[in-house]
Amino acid sequence: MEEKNIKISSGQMYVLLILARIMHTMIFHAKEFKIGTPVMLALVFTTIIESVMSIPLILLLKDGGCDPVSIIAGNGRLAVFVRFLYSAYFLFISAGTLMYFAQFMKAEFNKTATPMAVIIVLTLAAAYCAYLGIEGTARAGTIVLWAFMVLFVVMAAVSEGEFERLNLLPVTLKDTDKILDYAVRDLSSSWWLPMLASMGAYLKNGVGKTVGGYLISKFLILETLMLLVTLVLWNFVGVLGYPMLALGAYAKTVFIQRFDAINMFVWCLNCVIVNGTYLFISAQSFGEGRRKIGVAASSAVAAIGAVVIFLMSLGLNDGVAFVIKLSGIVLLGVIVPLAAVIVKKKRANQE
Amino acid sequence: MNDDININIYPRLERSIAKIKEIFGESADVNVVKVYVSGVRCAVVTLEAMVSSADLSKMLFAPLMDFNMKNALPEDVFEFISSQGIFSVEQKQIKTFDDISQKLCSGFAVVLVNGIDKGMAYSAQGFSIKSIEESSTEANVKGTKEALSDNLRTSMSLIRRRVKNPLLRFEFVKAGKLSNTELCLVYIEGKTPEKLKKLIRARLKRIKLDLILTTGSVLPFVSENRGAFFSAVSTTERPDVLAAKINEGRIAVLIDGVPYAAVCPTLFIENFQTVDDYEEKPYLAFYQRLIRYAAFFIASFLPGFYVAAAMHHPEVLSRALLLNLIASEESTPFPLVAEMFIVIVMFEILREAGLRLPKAVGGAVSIVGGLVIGDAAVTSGLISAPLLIIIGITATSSFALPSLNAQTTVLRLVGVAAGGMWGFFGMGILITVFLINAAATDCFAVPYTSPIAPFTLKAMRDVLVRVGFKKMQQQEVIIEDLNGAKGDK
Amino acid sequence: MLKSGVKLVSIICVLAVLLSGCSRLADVRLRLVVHAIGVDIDEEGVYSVSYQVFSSNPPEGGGPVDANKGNVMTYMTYGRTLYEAQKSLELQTGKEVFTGDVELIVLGLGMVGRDVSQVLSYFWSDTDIYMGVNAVFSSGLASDIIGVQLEQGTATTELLNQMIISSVANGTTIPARLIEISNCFEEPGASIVMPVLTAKEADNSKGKEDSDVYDMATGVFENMLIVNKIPTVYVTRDETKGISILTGGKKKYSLTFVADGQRISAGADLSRVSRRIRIDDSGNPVLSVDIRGELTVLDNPTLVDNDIINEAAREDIIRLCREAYDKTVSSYGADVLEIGKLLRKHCNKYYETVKDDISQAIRKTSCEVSVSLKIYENE
Repeated sequence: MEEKNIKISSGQMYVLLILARIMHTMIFHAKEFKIGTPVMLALVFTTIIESVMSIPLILLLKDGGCDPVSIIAGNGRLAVFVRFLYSAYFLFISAGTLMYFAQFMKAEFNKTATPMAVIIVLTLAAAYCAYLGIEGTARAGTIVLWAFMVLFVVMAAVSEGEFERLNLLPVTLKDTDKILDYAVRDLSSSWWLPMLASMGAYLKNGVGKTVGGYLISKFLILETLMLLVTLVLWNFVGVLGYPMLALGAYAKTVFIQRFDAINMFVWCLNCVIVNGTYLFISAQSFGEGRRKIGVAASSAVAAIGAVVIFLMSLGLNDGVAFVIKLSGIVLLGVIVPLAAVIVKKKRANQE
Repeated sequence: MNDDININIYPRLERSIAKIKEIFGESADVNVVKVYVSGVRCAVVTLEAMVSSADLSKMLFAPLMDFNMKNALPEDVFEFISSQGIFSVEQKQIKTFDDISQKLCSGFAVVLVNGIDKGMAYSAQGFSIKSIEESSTEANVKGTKEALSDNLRTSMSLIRRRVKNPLLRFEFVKAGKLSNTELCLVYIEGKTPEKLKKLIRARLKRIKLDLILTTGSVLPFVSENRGAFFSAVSTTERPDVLAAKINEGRIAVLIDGVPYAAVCPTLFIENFQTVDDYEEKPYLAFYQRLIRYAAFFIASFLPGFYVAAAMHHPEVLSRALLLNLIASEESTPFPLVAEMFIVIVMFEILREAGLRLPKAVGGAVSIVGGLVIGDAAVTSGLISAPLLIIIGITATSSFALPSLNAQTTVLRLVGVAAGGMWGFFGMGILITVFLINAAATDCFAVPYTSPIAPFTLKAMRDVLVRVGFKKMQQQEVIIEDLNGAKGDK
Repeated sequence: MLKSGVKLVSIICVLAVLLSGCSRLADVRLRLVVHAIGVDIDEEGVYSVSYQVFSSNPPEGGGPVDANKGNVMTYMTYGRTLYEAQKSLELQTGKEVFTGDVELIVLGLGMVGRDVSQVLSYFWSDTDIYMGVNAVFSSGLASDIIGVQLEQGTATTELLNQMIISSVANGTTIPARLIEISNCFEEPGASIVMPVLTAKEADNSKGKEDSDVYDMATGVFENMLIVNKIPTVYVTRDETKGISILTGGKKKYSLTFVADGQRISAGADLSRVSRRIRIDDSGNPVLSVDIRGELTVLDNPTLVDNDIINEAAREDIIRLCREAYDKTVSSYGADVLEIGKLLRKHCNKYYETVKDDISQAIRKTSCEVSVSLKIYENE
């Protein structure tokens, strides 16, 4: 397939970003982590921090169609190195997503498919997405986002639980540790910043609306989810571990007795789209190499890379993974765009 | 164009006639009538059953016999036949044997004059053509019942009757090395992007097949998506639908001898639109479209989801359904997936049989076969009743969308395999892969999943809901409005 | 050649991996659908687990199985753990036990005095089971309830659940679902009331004085108070009603009381139950419950005055609340009224000082109930 002149709109970019964030929430295992009012407050702080962190990107991509790496380093060795970092980072993120999803399948649906089968099938499907390109993935993502919203609303509507206002406890100074803990966790999931930076060249228009829409909807979705979980499920979410799954575990209709499998179905749709995006970003970061080996081969290489990193990171310490994620966000999502803004401004002044 | 016959007509009549016979390999359907017109030797060449004898007599032979000029020269006779005495709806001066052969094959009569190295071809088609009939694949309750014809010109006339405007354009292109089939591009000037016209023309000219006998021969050349599961080029048998589509800036390709037109670009949502939607009130159209969308999902995915739920996720099913399922599966010898495949294949065989048999018998065979075989299979315990009901609902749903029959058939089979192997996980992967395939399909920069994704608000007026005509007339929506169709790619 | 070879090997490997899970597939006919589970335990800690399962055996004389006719069978297995007992059932029947359709969990009387969370945790971690499943106690053995025979045959789970629902509607029991029990047990010092299903022959068709006049056969006639995860004492239906009123669990109750020497039946719609907690001067919590609602007189044969009825209804409600409070909070320090949660939300500082010994603080909590009703005559 020939590489076309790919352009996606700010709306499509928003869809990809929000799906990636929702995916992380879906497969986030809350076993030792109690959801409650401190966590809801932490989300307010993280949203503010993310807004500040996104300023370089908004300034850089206010008209879209801009590659920060090219601005800073052209096509030289530095550019190759930075692109390699982007590529490796998103392979790491993809491997992490695959691992969490496989763990979820093993914990909840271990008779349906083995973890290795899950990884391979997901990777193949994601590689196919990456091969077909980001436009198709973004368009499909729009439909998947609708599916998720419908599922969320339906589960909330048919939940048999009652709102227990007593579960909304006041936040005290003793909750500071918890607030900080969640804030850092949430910030370490903010790889939407490097996503936006790496896909800057594909954007048709400015990212102001994308960023604004993403932050607001992420805040609303997560706060609503946490509110529902706190009011309806309370400590029970720790039993199942997955907040969205727990919400579905207590929902019932005449036709659908249990929402677990329905949840898994929608998460699967999301996982393919999101991993497809990661593999695409990784593959397109090959730069000149991608043009040489072709779109199909670069997607395949990225897919293999994700599986290899998954296997290598099986025994990886959580703390190390956390450091890698956060470092990537800061370096690739904030520092590189900031540097690009400065270089661009300098060039504009010189002209 | 065959270089062997692309040579000028000989002035000597006998030599020209011999050449024509040589070109047609002494074919028995070549008729040569030699006449003397005012003393000058002429010949009228036709192909058997391609021309109308009555038309020829009146239009050609009578004037020829009436021409009486003293000491007439060949040039005088040629002058008479070319511009004075014989007139036809379509007539053309021809210079080469290639032109002669093409005109003869198109139902023209060719007149040659001894001593003149040119000839005249007169349209006198008299071959039998099918009358205009009702559409067999795009039935409707209200509205016109006319369908396109095998004859290209008849089809053109049907379209012209609906768009009585000079902006409606027909462009002929020939394709097929042996068949020299006439293709006709149909579009409305000013609505269809120039780039689209150029691309289609160029692609049609690149067809190197020997024969063009079906629309299917042309579609792969017009479409630009290899590996696309859904086709971004659709076909239609109805002139009213074709007129509506070209009014939105699309381009259609008519094929001589085929009563279907290929239309591109096509959107996924168009498979759910019918003529009746525009005859009824919008609220009924809305309801009917919902039914069709539901029918698509039922036809494609219900068997797969059923198998997935029964085998992997029985907790999803309601108790009554689950217990009925277990009770009915208790006595069947095959696993559920195998049963499902057997029933699907049975259904496909019955459907094929119903299609291929004569109409008088075909319908009865389908009904009897389905009832008898189905009932016997359930009674004997080979398959379970719930499964037969599922397939019945699936089959009926697939009949609601004939244009997506191929896709729903494949999705159904693959869905059963995926659902049987990996439950809802398999179904999720399957649906995502096909969704992305559809989303990545585009035809001349128009995404196949428009206007849903990418979302175009003004084009949503005819997706699920059909806005009233009064509102429609306030704002035009053409294909260029659907993301990137402005020819800048 | 090498490329084709590599491709072929890759395909074989991928297929092998992809198909490797298929052998664990259970065809639908090989699943044993369990409707209800009863757990009994003996002194040695051996579990006797009874299962009410769907019987897919065709009836005598052949023909299809009618899934709607309540075809059920009861199995009994034993094991040192519940998992062992379940495995034993699988070995016994040759089918894979499917618990996704379980609608009732019954704990036998042998559980009294034992930590029930050890049993219920097995069901919490079972991802197939719906978390809204009712958990109840049995007045005798759990297997008596699972296999109880009524005139139409074995009482199906639907019927047993219907009995619980009817009692809930009557206000004489509070449903205890797995999720609620789990949440309760996570709260320090929290307690819960669970329905007790009884299956016995009716031996007093005429009824005794001051008791409800209907046959006692199978149903919920009392409840079990679980204090700190241990079933402790029976709670009467009136006491349960009082607990329900105090927690604002239900809105509508049926009351039967004596007013001016006459027995009156009325329906109370207690739409507003507001609860406040404060710390009094002596440093003890005080729970104030303000109950407002409407009273509809359903049966007033001697036309007693409305004001008298209203007053009598008020006193009846206060009586129910007092009995409930005395039985649970005062006697056992059982926090069925969510006193701990209220303290944590409204008196956080105090809560922090007492959270390590919350039961003691709960015992010291006093309760003030005020009731205000508007009366409507049922025409």
